[in-house]
Amino acid sequence: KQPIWVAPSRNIALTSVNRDAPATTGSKAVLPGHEYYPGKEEYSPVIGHREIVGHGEIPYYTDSFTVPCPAIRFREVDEALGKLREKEKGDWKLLSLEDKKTLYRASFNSTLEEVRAPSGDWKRCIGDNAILMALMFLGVSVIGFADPQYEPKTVTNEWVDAQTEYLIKRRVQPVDGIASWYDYENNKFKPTWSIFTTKETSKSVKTLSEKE
Amino acid sequence: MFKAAAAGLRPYSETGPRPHTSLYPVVSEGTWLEKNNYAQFDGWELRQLINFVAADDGVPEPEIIIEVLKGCRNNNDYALATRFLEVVRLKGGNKMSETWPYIMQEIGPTMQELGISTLKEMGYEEPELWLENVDDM
Repeated sequence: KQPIWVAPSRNIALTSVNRDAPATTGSKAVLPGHEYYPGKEEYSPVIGHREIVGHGEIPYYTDSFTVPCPAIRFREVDEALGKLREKEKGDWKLLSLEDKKTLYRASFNSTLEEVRAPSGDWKRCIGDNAILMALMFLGVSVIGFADPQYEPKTVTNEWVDAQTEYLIKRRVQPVDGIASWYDYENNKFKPTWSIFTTKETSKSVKTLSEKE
Repeated sequence: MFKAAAAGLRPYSETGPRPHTSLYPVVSEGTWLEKNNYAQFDGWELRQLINFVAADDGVPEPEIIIEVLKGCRNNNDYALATRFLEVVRLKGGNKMSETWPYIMQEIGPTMQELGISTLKEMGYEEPELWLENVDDM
């Protein structure tokens, strides 16, 4: 014989919750203006003193365009809200704009337009990435080059002097480059070369210019 | 209507049983509106109906909107009426600028009768408050 499928009752779903958390005493007295909804005291450890207004095994509140009307109201039951509810039972033309807005915010956390509104999170993402990239560039340029171990040897004066000596001997770039700046008659650099020298002229340049 | 039925076509309203049928007795046979008297719906059933309207692919007709608003009035729930109007407005999607003025035109008299202020008066056509998105925290 096939087992009958029985719809799970509320007590089955709620006992797991009651075992974990201590049961708070729900408000047994209904404040004036609010109606009593079945299961109000049983659900108070889960949802507090909020009215149940819709279907749902364990009701919870969400703001979404696909489920615009959740099973519970958003705000808890209050005395001031009870008076508003009594006013709501009368003519709605007597409600002021502030009353209408409080009634809306009592049932719903945010409007559907607020749900659709953009969050502007892309600015934070790009900003954080820019800060990290700046830190990286700082580290490489300052800390990375500060240690002489990481200095390339082709930057030292010895290497450059040997390099210039070799280039001048080989007479490379005679038209526009280094050999055109060197006066081979007098064995010294033409005055234009002074732009590229340091204050202390290096040894090889002195020897080259002092040669016959 | 009968010729269409003979051809195998049928209107969208008769495609199948809808879950948001009421516990109350049927008023009379006829159109969908007459079969389901939305104005006498319970608060719970109205919310179920609005959730299905949000899930359906289309903007509800003004007659149905008027019945739902009357149902909200009978249940003394003003917030639900504004929420339903927001849903109807956003159901237009990219054509919101064409559908929403037409619907406001059709339901304007009933809204004034019941005392429901429009979304523009409430200021809910633009977002009012800012909330941090949970995914970005």
